[in-house]
Amino acid sequence: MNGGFPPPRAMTAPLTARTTILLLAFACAVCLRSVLSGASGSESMSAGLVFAGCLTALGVAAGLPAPRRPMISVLSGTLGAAVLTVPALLRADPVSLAQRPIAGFVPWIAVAATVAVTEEAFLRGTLFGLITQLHGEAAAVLVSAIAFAGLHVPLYGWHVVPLDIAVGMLLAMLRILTGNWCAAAVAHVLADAAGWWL
Amino acid sequence: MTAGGSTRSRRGLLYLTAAALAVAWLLPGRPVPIYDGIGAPDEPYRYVSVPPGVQIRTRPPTLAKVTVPVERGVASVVELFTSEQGPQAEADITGPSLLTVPPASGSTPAPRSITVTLTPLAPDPADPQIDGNIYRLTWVAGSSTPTFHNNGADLFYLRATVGPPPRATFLYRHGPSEPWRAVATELAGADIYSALIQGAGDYALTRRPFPAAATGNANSGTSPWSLILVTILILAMVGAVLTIRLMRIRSAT
Repeated sequence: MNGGFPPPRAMTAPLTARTTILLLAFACAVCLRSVLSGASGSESMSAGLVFAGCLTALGVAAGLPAPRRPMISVLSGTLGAAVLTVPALLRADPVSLAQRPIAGFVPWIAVAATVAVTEEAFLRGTLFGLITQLHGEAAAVLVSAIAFAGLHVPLYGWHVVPLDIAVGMLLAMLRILTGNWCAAAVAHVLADAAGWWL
Repeated sequence: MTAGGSTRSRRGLLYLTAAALAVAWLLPGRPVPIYDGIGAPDEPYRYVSVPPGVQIRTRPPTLAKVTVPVERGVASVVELFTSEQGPQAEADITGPSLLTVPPASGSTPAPRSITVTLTPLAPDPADPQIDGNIYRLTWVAGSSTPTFHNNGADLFYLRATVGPPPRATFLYRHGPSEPWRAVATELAGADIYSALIQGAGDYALTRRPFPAAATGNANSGTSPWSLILVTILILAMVGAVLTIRLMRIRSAT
């Protein structure tokens, strides 16, 4: 909040430069993951971990906000995950749900959670904070949601864009309402975990 | 921004988010939402007729059907896929090539839509050793049959019953009475194969050597261009991290 006056250009120029570099580097990380995945696409766990490493390095370099208010984050994140998964649960096939093997779940969720947390730390932590300082919360919600959808396009195709933009906006709203990115991370991890069965 | 303005703005964003979610969920698409980059494993393969020796009980495989409008004799983009997680068959017919339908003649009006269907079928014992189901691709426009003009980018995807190895080969036949022939096959995922759409007819996978099998070279090795690209991207990442770090140090001092 700045009382309605935009921050002086001398103050915003370094932030703008940092945000621009961050977005370009994010695009590079998405390309790197896509090239490393090759034909395996989203099933390449090693490419997912490299991507998580890139986002962590970028987020820490640009100033990652420290996690805060763990209880509120867990409760809000769980509620967010419920909103994300209930429609899929209603459409799920009960026979397929019962047949999904549990054997590979632990290694899978370990990697999926690592990727999800680093995505949230970067998008709803570092990037969201910078864009909010420059252009306000509405811009931060939209840019982080578009980036979220964009990172999934090389893995799944363009058809996921509407859903991923909407989900990205919900995760950004969790960031706004709780004041930190951890609630979005909790929602993201729980929704991914539910995806094993859904 | 005032506190009241901030509250109003946040309420507006919340409504916008709810509307975006509602629209996204109502859109036709894959039945499962995908939020993250690690793909969940596929459900067990659904057979029309479970082969001997395979111990599995699943729901029947699904068929896919889509009706698309025709404008100036050409159907718009057609993408249809079956509803398993992940889809066992998918046909992507894109671009301007598409399905043209005959113009109106005499008392017969020009068709306004084309219906494209993907139907799972059980392999016949006389068929070559087929991996999974046969998928029959058909299209109709009223009482007429549309014409297909492959633009070289229209692809058919089939999921194998299990992941490789061995690699599978796409088979195609125009009709049940015609012989199967192998078509150039690409590995499009861990257990997903793609081939150019040959036209309406039957598509299947086989893991047995097939005469005149022409397979693509996807995943046959890492190209030097990929290595160069990876190196450039890694250097760009390192450069970005160092630049951002230096900028923060300078702004702090």
